[in-house]
Amino acid sequence: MSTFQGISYIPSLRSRGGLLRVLDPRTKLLAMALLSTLIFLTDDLLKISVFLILLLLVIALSKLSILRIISSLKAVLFLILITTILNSFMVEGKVIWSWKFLTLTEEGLRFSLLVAIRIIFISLFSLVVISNIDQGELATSLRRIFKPLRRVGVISDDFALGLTIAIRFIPVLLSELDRIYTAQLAKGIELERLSFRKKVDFWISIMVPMIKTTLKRAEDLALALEMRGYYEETRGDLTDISFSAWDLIAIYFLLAFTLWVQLG
Amino acid sequence: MRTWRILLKNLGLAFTDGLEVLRDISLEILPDNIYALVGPNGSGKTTFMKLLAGILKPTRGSIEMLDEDEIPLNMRREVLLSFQNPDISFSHLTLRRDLMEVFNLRGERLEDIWARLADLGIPPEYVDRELDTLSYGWRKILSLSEYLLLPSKLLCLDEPTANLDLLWSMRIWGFLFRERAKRVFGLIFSTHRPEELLIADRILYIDRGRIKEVSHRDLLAINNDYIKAMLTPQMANILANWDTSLAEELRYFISEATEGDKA
Ligand SMILES: Nc1ncnc2c1ncn2[C@@H]1O[C@H](COP(=O)(O)OP(=O)(O)OP(=O)(O)O)[C@@H](O)[C@H]1O
Ligand SMILES: [Mg+2]
Repeated sequence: MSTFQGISYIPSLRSRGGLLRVLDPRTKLLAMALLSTLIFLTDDLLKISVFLILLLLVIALSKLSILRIISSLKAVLFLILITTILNSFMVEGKVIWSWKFLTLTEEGLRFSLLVAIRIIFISLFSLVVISNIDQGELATSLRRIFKPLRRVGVISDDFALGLTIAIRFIPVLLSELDRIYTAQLAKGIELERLSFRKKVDFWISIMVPMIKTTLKRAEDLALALEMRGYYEETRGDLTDISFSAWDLIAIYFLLAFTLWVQLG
Repeated sequence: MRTWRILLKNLGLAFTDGLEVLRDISLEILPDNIYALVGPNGSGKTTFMKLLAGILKPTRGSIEMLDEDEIPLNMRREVLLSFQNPDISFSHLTLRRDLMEVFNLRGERLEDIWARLADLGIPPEYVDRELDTLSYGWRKILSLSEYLLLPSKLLCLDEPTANLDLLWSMRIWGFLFRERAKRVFGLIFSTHRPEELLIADRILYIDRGRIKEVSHRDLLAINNDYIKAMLTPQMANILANWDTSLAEELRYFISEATEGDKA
């Protein structure tokens, strides 16, 4: 029973190639960071719709299955609903409808729509980008991106490795959660019939082994790295990455797009 | 005396990748027998037990547990499953706290639990030892003890004695056999140890997701390298002359030998 697999939109997602493959992972990460920031800097509906067109284009190029993409939205659905509802009623402006202390304003509706679109854009865009970068590429990219930090005394490799492991661990932790959850159920506990208070007890009883095994895993991983002779100075990269003409084109495009959004 | 039975009909189970991990299983499981579930690594033993415990649902066919009036029982509650890995089953720092929590969540009283733990051979100080400071084998013993103490109609033990020394394996079995003399409950265990076949009444032989219920003698005729590896000349000899009373004798011997035995 993969109770928690629904939350995990990073594992089991491997895009089958597609045109996005020609881009260097660093370009994709740059696009992800830049566009996710930019979309918050504009309120213009015309510009926002260009973002959406861009998103559709990227989805089409990535060859990800539409079904997977839609199901991954389930994970953020709750967030979208809450922010939309709250925003619709909390922003002041021209009142459309009101009942007791609740007032719905035109500005509120507009604003919450904007926020919902932004959340969807960010989650889907990063989903596409991340599923188009494999583990090795990600590790190498992060290492290279953080390299300049070395000049100011930051151990950039450790930092990059930490980040890579953190990302790698998300699916592992989710399957761990699933295993612990089922282990508790297997003691004959009927979750559906527990009172609210006992349900809370039950979830706490799951979090404790969860934290413990996570710490244990982290320790094992550190040990395993050491046993295999991981040293910052000597290590090389398993996967090589390099910029191509396509990256140049993409970066020019991103630049032009940024200028248009900000100044246009 | 028959208090329930589990019926599996043309059962199949596939995970999200669509491959059937269990297939075409038709079986009847009764409380009177002790079943040994044997088969190669990855053949589906753990998956099968999760199915019995109601944690997984079949994707084909059906499974139900019926009481003597043919009324379906809730398998989630009536069937317990102890996992191979002890560390995922503890939610507290000590066995005492963990047991209290489980009984609380199940809405049952602890009553004579501590005395029964002692009967199992667990020294009282271990009840309050921090689990993290114990060896893997000891964590396994303590996690097993929880399942042995909880009331159930069917107990599924997934490789209960893997990682235990021989003496502790005997103590676990001895305790189970003594408990079974007091009240009826079904027992299914998976194992890779050939000698443990001898304490079972029936063998559930699983290979690539297909399960056959066989007798000890039938094992000799199975043409499979995994089974052949289990059959040393001595084993083959015992199985060739197999008689159901042998299992009973062995169980009696183990429960006597480990009674009142303290670690
Ligand atoms: N969540 C899952 N998703 C997909 N396949 C799975 C999942 N869990 C188990 N399997 C597959 O089901 C098959 C049976 O696994 P199972 O754990 O039941 O084997 P087993 O007989 O218990 O093996 P072992 O003796 O090693 O414990 C394996 O091929 C395994 O890869
Ligand atoms: Mg198993």
